[in-house]
Amino acid sequence: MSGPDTRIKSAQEQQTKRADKVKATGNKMGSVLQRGVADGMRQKEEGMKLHKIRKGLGLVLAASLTAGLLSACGGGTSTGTADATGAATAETAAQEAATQAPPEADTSRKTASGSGERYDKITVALSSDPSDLGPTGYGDTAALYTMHNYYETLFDFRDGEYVPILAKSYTEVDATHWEVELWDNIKDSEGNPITADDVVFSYNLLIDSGKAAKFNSFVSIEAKDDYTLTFTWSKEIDSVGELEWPLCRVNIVSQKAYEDGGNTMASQPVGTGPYVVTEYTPGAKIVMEANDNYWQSDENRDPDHQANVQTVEYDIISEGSQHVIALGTDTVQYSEYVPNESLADFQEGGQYADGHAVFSTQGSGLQCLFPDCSEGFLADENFRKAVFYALNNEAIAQATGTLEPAKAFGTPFFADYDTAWESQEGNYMAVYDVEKAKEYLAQTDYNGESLVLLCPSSDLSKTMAQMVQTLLLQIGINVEINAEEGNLVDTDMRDPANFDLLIKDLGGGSQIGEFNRAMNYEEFGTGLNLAGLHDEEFQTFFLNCSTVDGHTTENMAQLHQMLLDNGYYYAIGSPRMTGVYSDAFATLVYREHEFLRPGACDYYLD
Amino acid sequence: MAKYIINRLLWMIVIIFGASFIIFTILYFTPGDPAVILAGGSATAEDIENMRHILGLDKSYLAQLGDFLYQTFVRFDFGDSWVYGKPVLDELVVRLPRTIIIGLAAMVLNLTLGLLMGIFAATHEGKWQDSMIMGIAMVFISCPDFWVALMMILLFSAKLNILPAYGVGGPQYYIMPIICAALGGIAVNARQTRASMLGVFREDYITTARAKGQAENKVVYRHMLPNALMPIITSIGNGFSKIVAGAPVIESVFSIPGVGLYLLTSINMRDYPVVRICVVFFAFFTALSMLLVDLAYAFVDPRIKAQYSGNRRKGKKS
Repeated sequence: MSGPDTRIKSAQEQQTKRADKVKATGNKMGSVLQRGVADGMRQKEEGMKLHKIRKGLGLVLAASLTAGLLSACGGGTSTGTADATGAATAETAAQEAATQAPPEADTSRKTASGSGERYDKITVALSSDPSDLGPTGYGDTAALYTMHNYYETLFDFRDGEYVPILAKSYTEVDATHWEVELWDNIKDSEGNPITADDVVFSYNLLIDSGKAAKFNSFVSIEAKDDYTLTFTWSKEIDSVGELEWPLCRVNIVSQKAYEDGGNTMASQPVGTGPYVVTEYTPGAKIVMEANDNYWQSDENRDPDHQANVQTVEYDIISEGSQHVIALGTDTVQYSEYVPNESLADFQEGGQYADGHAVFSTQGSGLQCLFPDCSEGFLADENFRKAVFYALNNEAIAQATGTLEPAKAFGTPFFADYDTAWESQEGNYMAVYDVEKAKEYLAQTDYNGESLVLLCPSSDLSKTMAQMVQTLLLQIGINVEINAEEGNLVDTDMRDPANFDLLIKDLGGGSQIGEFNRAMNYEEFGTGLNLAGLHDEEFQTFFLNCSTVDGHTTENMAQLHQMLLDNGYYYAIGSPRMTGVYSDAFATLVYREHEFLRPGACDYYLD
Repeated sequence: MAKYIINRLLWMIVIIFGASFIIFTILYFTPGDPAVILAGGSATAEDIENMRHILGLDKSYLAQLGDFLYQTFVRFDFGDSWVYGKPVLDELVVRLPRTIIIGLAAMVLNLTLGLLMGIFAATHEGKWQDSMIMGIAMVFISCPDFWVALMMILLFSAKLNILPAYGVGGPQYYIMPIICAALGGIAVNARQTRASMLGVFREDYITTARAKGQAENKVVYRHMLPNALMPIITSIGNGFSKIVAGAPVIESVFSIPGVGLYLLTSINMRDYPVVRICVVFFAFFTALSMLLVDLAYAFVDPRIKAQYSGNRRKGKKS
């Protein structure tokens, strides 16, 4: 997701300014970390264009999917490509696309950012309680929506780039040692200065909590002087996104504030962020006010760390239908948890359309079907391809109502996704070909045995599983669905003996990062990856693609071709992120494209 | 009577220890690794192993059970939530008042309306009033509480905008949840009261009372009701024990951060310390409720009181 034009320009200016500062340090890693801000922005803009085209096409396709779904379920032998369905009404798609686009600020109106005044109050609905507002409180996903308001990290992670926030600059001393310079004027909301010792304390706090995931490269952090830190890595940093967690996920707090407060940080956080928590009712709401003593000067303040609204309230609403009521009665102004069937209420002609709009975009997640390649029928490449060619992503997406169908193994959300993959030879994800599936099946010794399809018990997963079951039945493959509680699947998927096919989502900060969990056989400590594979050639090639030098368009394309040739993976689609917002918003700004930053959004004041 | 109470109190200890052992064992063998859940989707095998060590899940079953019993019953340390890192007791103390407000108020409604409706129906047996009351009770029982809750929200929040749809705050936030939580209980109590009242309706002592010219109100409230109370008290006792357990459905629909929702979320997240302490707490409260019910039996029914008094005298003689 990207914000509207006005916000992007501003961000681009700021990022370019920051990139210049980083480049001024003259270090090599500057080029690694800030790998061309301009390139990044260009990729982002291209991505936006592609995304718009794709969204339009997707909506056109959606209109014609029912026919495909019916033919799929009706035992027919239809053959066609995703592009062949483009005959639906472009007008309808355009209308829908318009209602789902992000808001673009009306420049003729008075806005918070334009006038320098703050909007009074905005209320955002969440579905669960972060509960622990402390700096290591990563227990619930809801924390990812709230903590960036009151905490800051050394760097932010944006579009695969590391944007300095509390850090001022960094230098690579040698392959395994970096020095990070802090701003010397950082203070938390209680006025405690933040020095290198506080940063070390914050790192140790997270590590001791056991929540320091993805710290494989991290060895230690030491304070060289008051405002300089020395990081020691276990090896040369050459993987894309390798430092996302060590550099961008550690909330920095003052040791004094933390220790003076006892255990109160969990409910009364004290950080350096643009907002200060003033009220927290566990399980009910979090209220925060703009931090009037924010440490950074106006000219150096990051645009995503602005406070354009005076009061931000997060209301915790566990029931989906209550989100509809809360938006309808203007009790809340933004929610991502409106049930799909109620979205029409906020679109043109809907009962709450007046004063509301819907912004829908492709999320970063990817729903996949993993075969157990280690044993059984799925160990046979022909059988895997028979399964994959028999699946119809358009139909599955239509049945779920929340997925963008995948046309390759990846998510167009990421800059390192390449649309060229979609037209690669033998791309079974872009083609629904029952005849081909039967041809592949004929080359196997399958004789009607039942396969176990393991999936989480969420509605989305179960719908996908039922569609897979139905589609495979058309070519004579019997599937037994084993829907387990999501947390149980996380345990059971580590042992391929528990499934023949597995429906599981992937996530990450980049395409190659998203691939890691699926492809890297060292990830689970079992010697097998998520597809039950231990393929040295594939592993070596994947690891090469993960390095900075090896992460090229050509290598990524070759990696994708390899997985197609072997029939290793199948992507079903990416869930859409849908936000319903009131007309108070002039723009929407998201952290890492997913988590609304109310302070950085713009608001109409007239 | 003191011996009876001491006997029941000793049984309470056994019940609580039994519940602790059972819930610990069930959770120990429950599929799903808490370390995997807590370490998050990005965690490596090493991260998970580290998390398992931090949580103490790498110890043997007996070692973990011993730790749990020792911390809970010797040191009275109820532990911290694995997911949220906060003391379980702190969270319970914050959430319990909300749950109790809803549970207690719903129970008062159950009792008063249920009893009145049941008595009214019984005293008008076979008439249209009886049919109407039982019809209403049937509707109350048949309507799922979440459905009633949603209908009320649509009417009072979305359409009329006179009551808040969700959250906690002033008394107005509790009106709809209390009504929704009470409806089923009102119906059950009304039907129970009617049946009990009709059970004593044709007893000889009622006929005698009427023959002696007692006013009908006196017959109903002095002679019939006390004798019909035993099953009603049992029903009330069951309801009383549910007060602290909360109503997860109601709390979920109205987004009320109570104990029921806390337990439900914790089960899903495999937050074992929370689940264990909540269950121990519920066991304690349920045992206490049952004790009070038994005492109420003795208070209401002179035969029970006489039985224990008789035992005491017999003991002294021997």
